[in-house]
Amino acid sequence: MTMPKSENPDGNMHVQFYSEHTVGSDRKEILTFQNNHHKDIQDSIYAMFDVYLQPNVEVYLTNNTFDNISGLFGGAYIYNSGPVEMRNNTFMSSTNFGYSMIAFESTNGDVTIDGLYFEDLVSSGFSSEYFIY
Amino acid sequence: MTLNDFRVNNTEVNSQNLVYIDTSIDELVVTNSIFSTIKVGGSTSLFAITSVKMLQMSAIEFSQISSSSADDSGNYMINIGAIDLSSEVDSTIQNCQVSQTTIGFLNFASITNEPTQPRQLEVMDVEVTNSQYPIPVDIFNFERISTAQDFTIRMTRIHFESLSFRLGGNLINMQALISNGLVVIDSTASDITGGSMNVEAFNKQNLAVPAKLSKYRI
Repeated sequence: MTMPKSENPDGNMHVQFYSEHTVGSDRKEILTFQNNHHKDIQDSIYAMFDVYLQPNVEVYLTNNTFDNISGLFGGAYIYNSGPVEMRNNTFMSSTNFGYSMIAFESTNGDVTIDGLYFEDLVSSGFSSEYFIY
Repeated sequence: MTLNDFRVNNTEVNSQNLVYIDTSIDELVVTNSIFSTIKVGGSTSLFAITSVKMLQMSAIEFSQISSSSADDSGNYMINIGAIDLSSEVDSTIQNCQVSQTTIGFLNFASITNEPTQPRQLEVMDVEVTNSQYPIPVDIFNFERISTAQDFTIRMTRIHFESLSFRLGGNLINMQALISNGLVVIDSTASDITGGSMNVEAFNKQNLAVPAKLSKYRI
């Protein structure tokens, strides 16, 4: 499993995996990312929350703020996960140069977003990519 | 996908879509959301949905949504590539307020999977007010929808007020081949400059399925 890549997180970064990850396992696993504040991160190659998972991994992002970020992939990139739940997340004063501010790719289950706040964002976009994908 | 309490303010989407779903999904629900002071460009949209079986959008405010450049066209707040009628649940867009914008509200391009029972897209309680369109804009655009089956776009309590189309445009533009395609009831249009309502067949050689406005009551 690729752990979330985070460059210079400002504040407490909290990533939890409950139970060991086993490829192909039917056992439900949970990835939680909550109460993090990332600020003033420039020219990041990766998304601030950047995970490559397996379908049995549920993802929860709760109460996170991404402030003054510039980079290629923006805020969150979640690949090949199980269901995703995002609650009360803020993306502000940031620029991403090509890809999504938030991207879900090959998600195996429902995506639920409750409380998502975009403020003062610019996406310059050299390709046809998107804020939420 | 469910989106609740999604707020976007002072944001430049530019040549991108704000929310893009590039595959066929079963369900998209968007509720209780506010979009204000957003620029889009290059034929993009706030919501670009390739194909959906069941769409529900309600309690949404759009204000000051504009194109990045003055000559951009084809930008919409909601752009539905196709509604897949294999689901038995109809799609609805309701309780939306749109003001001070320069782009269209809804583009709906096609349906897939012919319905076996009467089906509809229901749009109701939408207010479009206080907007000036510098280039031709269709606020509601239903284009190239073609079916011999019973499919209707039902628009109820749609209110257009204080809109100015500098170079023309339409409140509703429908170029389709649907026999019972459009119902507009209990709706109003007031203080409109340069805007029209257009309903016609996109293929005028195919008159077996004429496009017609089945009911319009204001």
